[in-house]
Amino acid sequence: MRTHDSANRLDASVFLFSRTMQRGGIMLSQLRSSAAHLEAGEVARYLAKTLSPADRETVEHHLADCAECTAELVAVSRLHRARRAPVRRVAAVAAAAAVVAGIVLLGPGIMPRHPSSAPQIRGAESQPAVRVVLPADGAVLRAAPDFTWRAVPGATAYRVSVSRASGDSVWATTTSDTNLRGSAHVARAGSGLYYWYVDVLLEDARSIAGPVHEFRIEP
Amino acid sequence: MIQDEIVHVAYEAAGMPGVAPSELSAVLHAPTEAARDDAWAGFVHAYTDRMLQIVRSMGGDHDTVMDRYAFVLDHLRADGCRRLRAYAGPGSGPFGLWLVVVVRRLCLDHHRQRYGRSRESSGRESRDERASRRRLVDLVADHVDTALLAGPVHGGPDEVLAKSERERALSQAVEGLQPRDRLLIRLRFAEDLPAREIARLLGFPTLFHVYRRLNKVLEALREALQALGVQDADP
Repeated sequence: MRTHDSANRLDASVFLFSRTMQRGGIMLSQLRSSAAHLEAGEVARYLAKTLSPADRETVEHHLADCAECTAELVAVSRLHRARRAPVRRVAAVAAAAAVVAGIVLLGPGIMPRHPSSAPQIRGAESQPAVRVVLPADGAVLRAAPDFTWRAVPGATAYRVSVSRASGDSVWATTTSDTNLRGSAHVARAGSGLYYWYVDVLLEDARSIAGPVHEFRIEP
Repeated sequence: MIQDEIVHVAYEAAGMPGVAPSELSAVLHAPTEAARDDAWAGFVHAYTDRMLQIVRSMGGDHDTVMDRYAFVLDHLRADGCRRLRAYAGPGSGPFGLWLVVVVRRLCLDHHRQRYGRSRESSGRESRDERASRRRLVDLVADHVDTALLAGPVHGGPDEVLAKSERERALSQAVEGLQPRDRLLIRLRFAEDLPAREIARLLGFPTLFHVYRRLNKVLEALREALQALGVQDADP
């Protein structure tokens, strides 16, 4: 069994080999040992949904039995999504670039330990998810509701999404406030069951996915 | 630089195969040591934000984070950027995603080097695993009350034996599921992911498809347990 410590050492040869084999009609799925951890490229391609159906099935077969690779997949997915959040932290990038310039020029051994410009950023995992106030989860209403939730420390904006029970999106908007008036979009969608959630956008460009809540508008 | 980033994000958003970014190509194909130094500085500058985000996500105080970051940079550059050379274009997926995997693995290597490898059977992990198992058992036990499976062992040898048999039955039932369903169970009950995130990872069209599939899988587990002779809570 290979460990992640040596994962990258094998990446190039494995993928060059697998591409050669694929050209010859042999799929990656036929090469994988069930005991080996996933290659970095397999994780990336699984998340990017660029694996062939056979290779995707092979990867899922491995994930079903490997807690370590599943945890990695979830962590990488969250990190990548957080990276693509719309809030940019220009100041932090500049500060980090300054720190890195120090590393590049001076080497890590003599890197300054406490650069005053470097920000302290907490991981999104330590942040509480947003807590909604209205409409209460499972509420039965006669009209499109107002949406209210509690403020989250460090939040720069909130992304609110409302969808029908079918999964069709009804309304999505971003606000810096912690309440929204009942939307005409929701009202127009008519009666029925709705799901909604609030994602928190943090100032360090990460986001926190809020839990899904539901409400019903009676006819 | 900004244009490059837009191109890569567009590739990744479209799920296109990976394309080696210009900063990486410059490092890998630098003709001289001096050119490689320049290219390396450019690469680090371009990916500082992304790498620091990953390094910080692993927790720790400022010193720990910076030590970890130095470790990551050191190992990315070691042996003529051997790790970066492992990026094989389309075969490795989008570079941004691939880099997240590689940098995160280096962070784990740093943690293991500093604190040693954790034992999966001890401490919090074990408690979490038991808690996940308890949640799964609670759901499966709508008709078949197997809640004693995860509970502390009390009573005499008969009770211990009954618990052991039920635990084996549950394991057997789970192993009998299709791999994708086992993964669904793992993501929901071990990783504790919300349906929306599971839908995203496994490619379900909506989170409601996730709920529907979960219900079917749990129902299949109940039937499998009953077929294995687990009928009620009492031994």
